[in-house]
Amino acid sequence: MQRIHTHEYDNGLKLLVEPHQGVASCGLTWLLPAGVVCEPPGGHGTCTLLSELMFRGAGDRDARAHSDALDGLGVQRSTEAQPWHLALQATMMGARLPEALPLLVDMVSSPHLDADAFEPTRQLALQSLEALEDDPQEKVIVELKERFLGDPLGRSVYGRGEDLRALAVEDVRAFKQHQLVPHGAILGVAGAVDFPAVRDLVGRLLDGWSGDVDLPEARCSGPGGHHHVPAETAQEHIGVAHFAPAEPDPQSMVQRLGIAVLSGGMSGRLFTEVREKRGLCYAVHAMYAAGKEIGAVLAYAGSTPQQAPETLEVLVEQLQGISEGVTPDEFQRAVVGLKSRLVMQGESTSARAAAIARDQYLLDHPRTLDEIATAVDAITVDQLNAFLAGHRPDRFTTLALGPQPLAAPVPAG
Amino acid sequence: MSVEFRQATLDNGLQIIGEVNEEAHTAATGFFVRTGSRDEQRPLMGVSHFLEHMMFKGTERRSADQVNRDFDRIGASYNASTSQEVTTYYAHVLPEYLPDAIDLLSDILRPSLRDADFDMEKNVILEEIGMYADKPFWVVYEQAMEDYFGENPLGFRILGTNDSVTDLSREKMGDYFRQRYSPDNMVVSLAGRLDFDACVGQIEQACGAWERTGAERSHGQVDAKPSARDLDDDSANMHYLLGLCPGPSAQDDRRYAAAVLSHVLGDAEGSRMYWELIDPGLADEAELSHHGFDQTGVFVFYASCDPKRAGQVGSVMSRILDRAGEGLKADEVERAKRKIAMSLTLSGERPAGRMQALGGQWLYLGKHQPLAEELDRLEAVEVADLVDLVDNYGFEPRTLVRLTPGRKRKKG
Repeated sequence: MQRIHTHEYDNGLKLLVEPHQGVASCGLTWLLPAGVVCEPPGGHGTCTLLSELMFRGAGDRDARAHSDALDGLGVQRSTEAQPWHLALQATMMGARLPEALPLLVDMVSSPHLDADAFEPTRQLALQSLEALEDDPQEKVIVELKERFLGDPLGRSVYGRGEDLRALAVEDVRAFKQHQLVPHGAILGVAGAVDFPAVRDLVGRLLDGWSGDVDLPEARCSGPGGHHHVPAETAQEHIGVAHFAPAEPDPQSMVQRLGIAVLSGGMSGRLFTEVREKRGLCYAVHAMYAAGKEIGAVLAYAGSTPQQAPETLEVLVEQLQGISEGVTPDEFQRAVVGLKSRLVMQGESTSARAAAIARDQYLLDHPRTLDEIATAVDAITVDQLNAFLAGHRPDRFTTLALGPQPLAAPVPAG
Repeated sequence: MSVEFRQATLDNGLQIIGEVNEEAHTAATGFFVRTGSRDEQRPLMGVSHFLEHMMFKGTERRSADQVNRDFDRIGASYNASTSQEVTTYYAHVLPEYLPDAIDLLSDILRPSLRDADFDMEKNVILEEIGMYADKPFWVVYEQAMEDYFGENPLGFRILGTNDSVTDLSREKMGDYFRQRYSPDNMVVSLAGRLDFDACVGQIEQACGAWERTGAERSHGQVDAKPSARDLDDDSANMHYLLGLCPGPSAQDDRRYAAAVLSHVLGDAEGSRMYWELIDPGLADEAELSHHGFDQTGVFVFYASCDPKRAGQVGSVMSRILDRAGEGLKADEVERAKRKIAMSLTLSGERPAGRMQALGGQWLYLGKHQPLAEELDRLEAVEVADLVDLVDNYGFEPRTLVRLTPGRKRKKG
C-alpha cells in the first residue's frame, strides 16, 4: 500500500513524496512553469535553450565541475521542454539524494547562463531542428500538433529556426528570471527516500526562492484539415488527431479504456485491422494525450506510398468505428491491460515520480496506484459504450509526410 | 530483497533458470533461442527475424487472433526481438498470470507457419525495412556491420533486404525453424514472484516432447580491415558518421573494462566526446559503446553533425580514439563506474530487467551471475585495466561509414 506525502512551502512550491519499500533507487521529477507555451512572441526556442543551458554551470560550479559532481554520485539526469513545463528529471540511489539535491537545485535557482555557453547551445538547438528533418516519425507528430492545436498549444518543443537564430543570452536570462519560480512548480520524488528528510532538505535549499507567474490561456487555434508535407522518405508517415476529454474530465478514464481497445495490445483494433489483416504497415498506434484543459487522440501509421491511401482510410475508419461499441471481451482485456501497466509502473521509481508530479499538475492531487485501479474498476462496459456513442469523432486533423500527397479522408457522417 | 536462484534442465536439453523474489509485484518470463542473422545462409537473409513475426501467427491450438487476444487477456506486456545472435520471446505479467504466459509462449514456439499468414506478413516485413530505411543511424550501422564483417554472417542485415525477403519461401523458413528452434538451443528465463518448481513442471509438460537437433553455431572468421565508405543521400539533412573496430567478446572478462572505457570516452554526457564535441556545439550526437558478440566483439562510435562540420568532427573523433590511453584518471574511471552501476541497479529492480539479464548471461556464459556479483566485477575495474585494453585493441583497424546529404538538401 503506497502512501503519497504532500507539502506546500510558503513560496508556493508543492512537494510530493512516495516512499517505496524494497528498492535502492529514487526518481525525481521537477515541473517548472516554463514550458514552450510561455515563450514570448519571436522567442520560440527559449525554453529549449534554457533547458540545455541549465547543464552548463550552476551555483559555485562551472559546467564541468557540476557535471562531474553529478556523475560522481551516479545521478542520471535530463531536462525536457514540454508544452506547459520545463521538466528536470533525475534518477539516483536514494542514499545519494542528500548530496545530489543541492546540485539539482542549483540548476534551477542559480544556473550561470554564461554568454560563452550560449552560442554552442544555440548550435545544438539548430542541429536538433535539422536532425528532426531526418526523423520522419517524430516530425509527422510535431507537424500534426502545430496544425491541430495551433499556437501556442501546438508549438514545437524544438523551437523555430528563425527565432533561435535571433535570440540572445539576455532573452534566456529574462525567461529564466520570469518563469523559473516556485509558484506553480511541482517536485515529485519516489523510491528509497524518507519524507520528512526530503521536505526539510528542500526547504533549506530553496529558502529565499520566491516568485509567481501567470500562465497563458490554453487557447486552441489550429486550422485542422488535411495536410501534406513533402519528403523524400521510403514510407509515407501518417498522423491523425481528434479532440477528446481533458484529464480532469470525469470521462477521461473512460476515454483511456476506449483507446486501450483501439491500441492497447496486439489484439487492439488498429494492430489487427491495419497490420494483421491487411499487412499495410509495420507501426500503427494511437495514444490519448490528456492535458489540463484539452485532450486529444493522436494516431500514427507508417506505410510505403502504394499502401498509404488505404492505410489512412482504414485508420480513420477504425477511429470512428469504435463509437459503435466494444464487446465485453474487448472491454475486459482493456481493463486488465490498464491495471497491469499500473503495477508495472509501480516498479519504476522514476515512472512514479513523473506520474505523481503530472497528477498534481493536471488534477491538483497525486493519485496512488490503488486509487487509479479503483477508478478503472468502477467503469462498466455499458458506460464505455455510452461514452463512445456520444463522442463519435467527426472532425479529424490529418497529415501525411512523404513523397506523395494523399487524398483527404472522408469520415462517415 | 532476498533473491533465490534456481535451475533445471529437461531431458531434451531445454534449460530453465530463474531468480525467485517473493517481494516482487510482478513476474517475467522469456524463451531465449540461440539463433539470429548470424546463423543464416546469405540467400535466407532475414529469415530469423521474419520467423520471429510468424511465431505470433498461430499454432495447432490457437489462431493468430487468439494468440494476441490471449496475451492481452492477461494484461501481459509482451513482445519478441531478433538480434544477430539471439531471438527472444517474452512476457511481463502480474504473478497470478504467469502460468498463462508460459502456456502461451511455449505454444507459440511451435507455430503452424501457414502459407496465407506467411504471404501477408511478408508485406509487414517489407514495411519494416522501409521504416528503417528512413532512419539514418540504421542505414550507417547496417552498412558498417556489412563492411566490417565481410563474408561473416554477423554482418548480415537482421531484417534482410527487400530482395531476400521477397524471395524467401515458407518451406525454407520451416527448415530453418526445425533446425534452430531445438530445445538444446534455448533457455527459459524466469524472474520475480513465482513458484519455480511449478513453472518447471508446466514447461516440462509443454516442451518435454520437443525433439533436439543438436543445433550448433559456426562462428567463422572475422578478418577486419581498415575501410571507409561514403554514402550520398539526397534526402538527408545531417552528416552521419559511424565506425566499428575490434573489442572484447561477450564472454571476455574484459567486457567490464570495455564498458567503463566506452563511458569514459563516449558516454552521452560527461565523457571526452561530450566535452570535445557536444559541449562546444560541434556535433549533436557523439557516442562510443561496446557490443560483445559470441566469441568476438566491437566498439561502435557514432556522431551526427551539421554537414559543414563533418571534417572537423571526424578528426576530433579519431583523435579521441587515437589518444584513448593517454591521461586516463582514476576519478573519470570512478564516475563511469558509478553511471554503469546505476543503470544495472535500475534494471535489476524490475523482474522484466532481471529476466532479460539472466537469459542473456546464460546463453553467452552458461552461468548465473547475481546482480551483486556483477556490481563487484564492475567495481574492480581500474585505470590499469583500461590502459591494457587500449594497448591490446587500440581502436584499430577502423571501418568507417559516412552518410552525407547530396546536392538537394531539405526533405521536409
